[in-house]
Amino acid sequence: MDLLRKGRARAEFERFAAIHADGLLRSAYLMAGDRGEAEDLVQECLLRLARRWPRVRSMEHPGAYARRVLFNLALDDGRKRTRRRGELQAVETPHGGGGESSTVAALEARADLVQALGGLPARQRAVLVLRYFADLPETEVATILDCPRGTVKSSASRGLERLRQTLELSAPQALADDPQPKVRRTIS
Amino acid sequence: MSTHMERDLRLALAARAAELPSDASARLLSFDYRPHTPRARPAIALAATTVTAGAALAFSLVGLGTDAPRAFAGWSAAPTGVTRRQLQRAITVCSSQLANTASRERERQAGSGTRGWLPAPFPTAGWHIVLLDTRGPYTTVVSEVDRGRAASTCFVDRRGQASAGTAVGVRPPPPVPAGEVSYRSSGSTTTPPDEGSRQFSMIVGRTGAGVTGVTLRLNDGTRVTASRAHGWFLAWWPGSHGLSATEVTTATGTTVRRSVVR
Repeated sequence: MDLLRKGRARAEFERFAAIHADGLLRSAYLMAGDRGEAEDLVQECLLRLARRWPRVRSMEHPGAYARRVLFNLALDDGRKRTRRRGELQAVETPHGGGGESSTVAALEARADLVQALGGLPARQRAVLVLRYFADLPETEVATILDCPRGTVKSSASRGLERLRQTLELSAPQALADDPQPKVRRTIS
Repeated sequence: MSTHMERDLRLALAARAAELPSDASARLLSFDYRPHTPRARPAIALAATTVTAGAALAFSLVGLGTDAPRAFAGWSAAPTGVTRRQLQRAITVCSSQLANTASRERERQAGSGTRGWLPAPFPTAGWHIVLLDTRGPYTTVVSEVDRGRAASTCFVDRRGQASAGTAVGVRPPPPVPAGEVSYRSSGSTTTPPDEGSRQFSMIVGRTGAGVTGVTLRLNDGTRVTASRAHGWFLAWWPGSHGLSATEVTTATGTTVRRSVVR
């Protein structure tokens, strides 16, 4: 970060990075599915922001711009590594704790959902992460992904439908493996 | 589209994101800066945990630690720039403190098998920083989990001593209407007599969409500019003066709200 030599600009950028790095890192983790790749994405994102800091600092919403840079990087990265699609690791399910079956089922359902998310096209995944993790309205997601609001709406709808279908397809196998049938795969 | 699916997806994404430790970003940043500044390792002060249920006004206020003899020298009514050392120290110490509190809570829950008087389990993962307030040598870090269901306020004094309060609710608070603010916690405290019996007060709250500035008017006439980020605001001031009004600025101008806090 020696790109910012002036004290005040540097302090401002470091303050900005401290506030936004966590949210960016968790979003990157959901997009990439791997902590190392997520850290690389955030580092690259912060470097780009530092290079453009005099312009970024004057923006009305520099945090939104940071998200835009991050998701563009993630989408570029996703395109370069399409073979990795679907490799999003499952959420670890604790064993041996004597947990109730409903808790285990809920954790399994979460793991299935996250795994299914990893199988979506990167752009659909980005829409779902921005809408349902970052809690952003459709208009803001459209700005970040540089597309019409209608595209965000249809991508979210298609993504959710595809997740639902994927979970339905995986359910019979889960039922066959589990002596306690899962009546509803809803996280509680 | 399925409401269940949307809700499940929110929970699944939050759980997945919570796999990263609370200090993951601090480590990332400190790695980048390591050649410039050694990592500070200040002692961890005892965390006080205050819990509340639901979205009602909650009390959660930091204690002052041992900073009182020179209490508040350098305090500013408006947020000031943060130094790299302050930044690293605040993030490191506050992340460590949250991790320690979470660890103690996990042990307590495992030992007793119950939540005791807690209205909801203390979140042991998923914390992320949403706001940083710096006033001279003092830095305050606000972290949240699960869209504000729990929020922690960590105050770091000029010596790097931290103390914190945490409010835990049973569900995330309702969204704040656009152009409005809501108070999440407020209060004041006094340092022990041998440390000067100094008082300070703090207010933490949420901002709705479109809020571009929050200024607190105290009943002694002082105006304190709040720090804002990610839909949160925070301000603190020396003494126990109450709040008389809140100025909320949006693109259409500034409105003044009479305040009933304290």
